[in-house]
Amino acid sequence: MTLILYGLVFGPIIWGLTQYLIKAKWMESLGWVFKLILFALSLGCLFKVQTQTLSLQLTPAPLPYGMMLSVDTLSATFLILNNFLFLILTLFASKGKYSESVFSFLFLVLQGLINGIFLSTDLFNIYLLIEVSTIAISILIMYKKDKPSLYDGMFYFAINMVAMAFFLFGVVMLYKRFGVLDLFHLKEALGEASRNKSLILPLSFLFTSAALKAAVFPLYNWLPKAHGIPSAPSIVSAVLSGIFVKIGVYLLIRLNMLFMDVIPLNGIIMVLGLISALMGVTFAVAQTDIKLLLSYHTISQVGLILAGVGGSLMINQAGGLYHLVSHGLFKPLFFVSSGILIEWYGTRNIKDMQGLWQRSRGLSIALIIAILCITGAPFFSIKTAIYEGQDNLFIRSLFLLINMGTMMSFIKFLEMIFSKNRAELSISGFVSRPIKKEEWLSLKLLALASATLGLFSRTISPILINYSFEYTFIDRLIKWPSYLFTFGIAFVLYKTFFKDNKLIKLIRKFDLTFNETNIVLVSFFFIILLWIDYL
Amino acid sequence: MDWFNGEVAGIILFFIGVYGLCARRNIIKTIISLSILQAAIILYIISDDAYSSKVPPIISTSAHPIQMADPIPQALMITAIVIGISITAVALTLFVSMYHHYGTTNWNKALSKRRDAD
Amino acid sequence: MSDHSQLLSRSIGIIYPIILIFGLYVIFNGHITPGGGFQGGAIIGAIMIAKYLADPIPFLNLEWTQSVEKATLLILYVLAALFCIVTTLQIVVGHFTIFLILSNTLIGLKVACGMSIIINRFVYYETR
Repeated sequence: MTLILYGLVFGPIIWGLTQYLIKAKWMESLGWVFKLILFALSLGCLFKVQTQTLSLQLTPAPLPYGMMLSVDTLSATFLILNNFLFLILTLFASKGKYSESVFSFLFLVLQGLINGIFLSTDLFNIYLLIEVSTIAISILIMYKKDKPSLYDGMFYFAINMVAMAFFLFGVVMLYKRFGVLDLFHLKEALGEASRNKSLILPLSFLFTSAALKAAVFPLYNWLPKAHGIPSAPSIVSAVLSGIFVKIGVYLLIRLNMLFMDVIPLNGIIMVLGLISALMGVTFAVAQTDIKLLLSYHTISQVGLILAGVGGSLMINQAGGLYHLVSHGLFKPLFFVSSGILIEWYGTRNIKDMQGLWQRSRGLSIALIIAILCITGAPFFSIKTAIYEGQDNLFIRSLFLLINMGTMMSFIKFLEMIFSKNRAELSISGFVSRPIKKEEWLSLKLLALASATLGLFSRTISPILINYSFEYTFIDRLIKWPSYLFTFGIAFVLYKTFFKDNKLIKLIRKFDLTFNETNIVLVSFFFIILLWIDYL
Repeated sequence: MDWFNGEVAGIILFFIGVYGLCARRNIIKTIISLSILQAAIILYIISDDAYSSKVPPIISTSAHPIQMADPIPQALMITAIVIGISITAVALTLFVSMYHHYGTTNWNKALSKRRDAD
Repeated sequence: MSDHSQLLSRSIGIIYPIILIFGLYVIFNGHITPGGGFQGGAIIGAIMIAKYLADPIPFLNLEWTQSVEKATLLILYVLAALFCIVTTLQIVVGHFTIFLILSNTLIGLKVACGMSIIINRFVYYETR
C-alpha cells in the first residue's frame, strides 16, 4: 500500500522518459490514464492520512541514518493541489504545440520532483529536489529563446541558486550541531536542546532562503520577472504561480513546526506576510501589463497566506492553508485565460483590451467566477477566516486595506469584460485562434473547482486541511452587504485617485539590479539574525 | 594560529563568495561566486576539528568506530559536488545564449538593453 | 593565449600520465581506501582540462564518447540487477569485492566520459 509513494515520485519521471523514447499515437491516451491514476493516488493518500501517517522506508537502515518518504496531513494537501493542477494544465496544452518532445518530458519530470519535495522527510533531500526542479523550470520558462526571456531566466536562475546555497549552509550547520538531518529526529533533538546562541545562525540561514522562495517583501524581485515573461508558455507561468511559489510557504511552515518549542517564528512570519501583502497590492494596482499585474498579485496573496499561517489561533492557520489551495486553483485560471487573451487582442496592455462580454460569454463567466473567488466574496472563498478573532484594530484595518487593494487591482479586469467593444480593434486575432475543446474543458474544470472550494467548504475542509469551518448559510449571507460596500469604496477610490500620473509611472518602473537584490538579501539575513536574537 | 581550521576557512570563503555576488557586475564573476559558495559549504561540512587523527570509515581496517571519520557528510557532499557542477554548467550555457543576444557581460547594461526591448 | 606557452605544454606533458595512473589507482582501490568510482572519474576528467591547456586541438569524438557513456550506464544497471539476484539466491555468499571493483570501474568510466563531454563542448564549440 505504501508503494504508491514510489509511484508518486518516480512514476512521472519514468513515464516521461518512456513517452520521450516511444513516440506513438496510442501513447497519448495512455498518458491520460496515467495522469488520472496519479491524481487518484494522491486522493487516496488524502483519505488515508486522516487515520494514520503513511511512510515508506527507502533504505534498509532506520531513520536517522537512512531516507524515508512520508505523508502527513500537511503534505497530503499540497500533493492534491499539485497533481490536480498538473492534470488540468496538461489537459489545457494537450493538442497544442507543447504537447510533445522535450517540453512534455520536462513537465512530467517537474511533476514528479515537486511530488518528491512534499513527500521527503530529510532536509538534504528537500535541497536536492528543489535544486533540480529549479533547473527544470528555468529551462521551461526560457523555452522560446527570445531576447527578454534570456535576461529574466538568467536572473531567476541565479538568485534561486544563491538562496539554495544559503539553505544548504543552514542544513550543514544544523547537522554539525545535532548529527541528524531528518525532520522527526530534528524535532526531538530541538525539543531537548536549550535555547542558546548556536541555533540562531542556522535558523537565520534557513529562514532567509525559505523567505526568498516564498517571495516575501524585500526579496520578491525575481517573481515578476519569472512569472511575467512575455513569451513563456502560459501553462508554465500557471505552474510557477500555482504551486512553485507555495514550496517556499511549505518550507516556512515546516521551519515553524520544527523550531516551535525553541524559537517561535509566528510573529515574524505574520509581520512579513502583512508587509508583503500591502506592497504587493500597491505594485499590482500600478501595472498595466496583464501578466505583471497577476504576478504582483501573487506576491500579495502569498503574503496574505503567510499572515494567516503566522496567526496565533487555529482558525487563522486553517484559513491560510485553505486560501493557499484555492489560490493555487484560480491563479492558474487567470494565467491561462490571459494567455488566450494576449493572443486574441495582440497586445499585453490590459487597457487596450475591451469588450470581452460580447466576444466570448464563456471566458467572461469563468473570469467573473475567478474574480469573485479572489476578492473574497462570501460564498466563493474563505478569506475572512484569516483575520477572524483578531482584536488588534490596527491589524484589522491593514487587512481591510489589503482587501480593498485586491479589489482595486481586479477592477481593471472587470472594466475589460464589461466595456463596449471598440470598432478599430481588428478581429483577426479572434478568428485565427478559436478556443479548442480541451481548453474549454480545462477552464471549466478550474472554475468549477475554485467555486466548489468556496461553496462547499464545510464538507471539504475537514478532509482537506483537517479543520472544519463552521460557517453556516446565514453567516455567509450576512457578509454580503459589507463585501459589496467595500467593493463600492474601492471602485470610487480607483476612479478618483488612480489616473496615470507620475507616481504611478514611477511605481510601475521600479526595479532592482542583480547586485542590489543580493545586497537586499544579505541585509535581510542580518535583520532576521538580530530579530531572532532579540526574541 | 590553531583557531584556523577547515570550518573557519569555510565560513570565510562563504562570505567572500557572497561579497562577489553583491559587488561585481560581470555575469561570469557571478557564476564564479556561486561556485565559491558551493565549495565553501563542502569544506565546512567535511572538516572536523575534534581529533586530527581520524581514520577512514572502512570496516576491514582494525580501528574502533569512535576513531573513524563521519561517513554521512562524505556521501552527501558527493551529491552536492555533482549538483554544483551541473548548476555551473547550466548557468554557463544560459550565459552563452544571453551573450549571443545581448552582446554584453554586464548585468546593468543587459538590464538597460532589456528595458529598451519592451 | 595566441602563442602557446612551451613551458606549460612540456610540463603538463610530463605530469599527464602520472595523473592518469593516480586516477586509476583511486578507482581500483576504492573499496579499501578512501576514494572510489566518482572521485577517480573526476580526476581522470581533469586530465581533459590538462590536455586542453597543453595543446588546444579538438581530439574527442563526441558521439562515440556519448555512446560509451550510455553503454556503461546500461551495463551498470545489469550488473546491479545481477548482484541482487545472486545474493538473494545465495549462489555466491560473502565477498562483495568483485562487485565493488567492477562497479567502481564502470562509474569511474562514466564520470570521466561525462566530464570530458562537458569540457569539450564548452571549450571547442561554444566560442562560435
